[in-house]
Amino acid sequence: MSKKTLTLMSKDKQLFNIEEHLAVQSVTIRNMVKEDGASSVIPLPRVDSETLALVIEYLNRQQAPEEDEDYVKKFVDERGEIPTLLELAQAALDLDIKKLMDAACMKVADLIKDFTLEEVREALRIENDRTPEEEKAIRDEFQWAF
Amino acid sequence: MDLLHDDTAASMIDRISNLPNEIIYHILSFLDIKYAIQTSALSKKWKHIWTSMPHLNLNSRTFRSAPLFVKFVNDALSHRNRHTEVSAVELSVRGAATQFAAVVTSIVNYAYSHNVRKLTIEWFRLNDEGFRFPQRLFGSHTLKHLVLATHYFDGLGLSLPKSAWEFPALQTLNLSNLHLNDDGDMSLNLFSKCVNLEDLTLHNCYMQGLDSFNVCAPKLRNLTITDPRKFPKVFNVVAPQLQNLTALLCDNLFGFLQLSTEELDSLEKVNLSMGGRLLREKESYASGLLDLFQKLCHAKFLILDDGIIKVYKYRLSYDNIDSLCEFVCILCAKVLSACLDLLSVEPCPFNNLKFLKQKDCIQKMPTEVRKYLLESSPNATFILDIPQANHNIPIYVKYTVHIDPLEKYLSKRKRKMVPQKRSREEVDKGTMAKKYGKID
Repeated sequence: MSKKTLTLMSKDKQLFNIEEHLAVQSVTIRNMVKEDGASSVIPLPRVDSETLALVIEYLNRQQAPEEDEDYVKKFVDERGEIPTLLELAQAALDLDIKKLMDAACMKVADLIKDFTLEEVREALRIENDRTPEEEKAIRDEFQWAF
Repeated sequence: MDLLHDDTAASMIDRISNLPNEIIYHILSFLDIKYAIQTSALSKKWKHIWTSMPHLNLNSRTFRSAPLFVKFVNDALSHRNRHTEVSAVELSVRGAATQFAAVVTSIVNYAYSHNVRKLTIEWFRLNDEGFRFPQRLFGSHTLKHLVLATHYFDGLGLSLPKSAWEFPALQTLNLSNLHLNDDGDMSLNLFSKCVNLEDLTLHNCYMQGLDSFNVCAPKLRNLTITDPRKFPKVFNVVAPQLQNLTALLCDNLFGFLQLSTEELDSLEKVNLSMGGRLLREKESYASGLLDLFQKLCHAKFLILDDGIIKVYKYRLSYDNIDSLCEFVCILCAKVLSACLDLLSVEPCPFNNLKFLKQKDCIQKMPTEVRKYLLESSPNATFILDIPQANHNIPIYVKYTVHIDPLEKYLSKRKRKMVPQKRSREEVDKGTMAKKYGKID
């Protein structure tokens, strides 16, 4: 019996094939498969093709259970750019892949933990919409944490 | 990369700046709450994010003194969004109960009243001053995961309720370095109301003087006893769904686990180790082992002397692990061989072994022991495992024994097993090299 294959489509309309038994590590896909057998193409409108390629690579890993944790850690370590990690986290959130979500977010946390506020803004592309006075007011309000 | 068009780059920036709160919360869950609160200065949107994040990490060590930590916790908790439930609270405290008792109590109460699902409390350097957890915590209906840990010398200080803990939702419970015995109790039955408990780990727990410690949990699947400091007189397990039992059999005071069991019908994997404890009373250990084998005869896999790698990882350098395993394997074989008299009287409870695997490091296992383990298993294959060049693979399977359920065992036990020896001898002599290639 040949293994069943699913096709995932990224938001830029690229198609990726993956064996069903690997794809169902994603709870979202698992539920789709349960519902309608997921015979057609599964669209992922919020995941771009580069990120989806990474997710597919992740889902295709063939690790022994006891080595899996190390593998996942290494997998995100090797893609240590914050924008990529955030895209991965977004995809993991949409696809409900807990381990990948954990690993990506943990890596981001690890990267930003020694950053200054300005560096965090830059890394997470947060626009500072406060005047310096307003920012100071916040620091004063929560001065017990600074 | 030039593939990245301007519009995709722009949309990516847009997406990231609009990170969903779920991802922000998840990132913050890996950071100390003090850091999370500082993100309030990032932008207007971020001002209140921390007040609703569901996962709190509190650590007294990020503060120079206990009073600073106490003030911080009070301020932080009072600024939280009152309607947010907390999914997880991780608290790490280092210091005396006199300084921290009040703040730990208020954190526990906060967690309880916000329907905490996962609670982790590590309290080091508690000293001897007592701390009593708020009783209401032990009636939490939302708690699914609970970890309570102290340092080796601090366990005496934490006092836990002695009547059954009422955690109807609890799935995993991990108790580390705790005294589960004080007040001169004769018998403890803490988990009988944890009707959904699936995983129980007792690490370095001290049960001195208890007549019996009872683990009665209808849904328990995994029971792990690591590095026991002192066993009770009887360790009673009633767990009809127990699949995996991992135990270090010898406590710090050389006491042997006296297991009493009921209804262990679902047992799959039993993983027993002797630890590196000195063998002062080899004979009593040996009879204890035989007794255990009888009680755990439902098991389909028997692994002897695993767990030792983990137990010793913290105490010895990695270089020693291989030789240590070897030592322990020989130790275990010695225990069995120390009572060859017993072996010849008692039939081996493990019938229908599929194979018995012997690693190179236990070549010294006496033939009598090997014969004993195989005597009820006519078709067992004996495999001599030749050491491999790759030393990265931990040597953790010493004997792997497959056993059929009790019915077969009982029916077979009545029969004499004379003719079976021949088949095993044949395997013994001829096919090791062949089998080696086949198995690994």
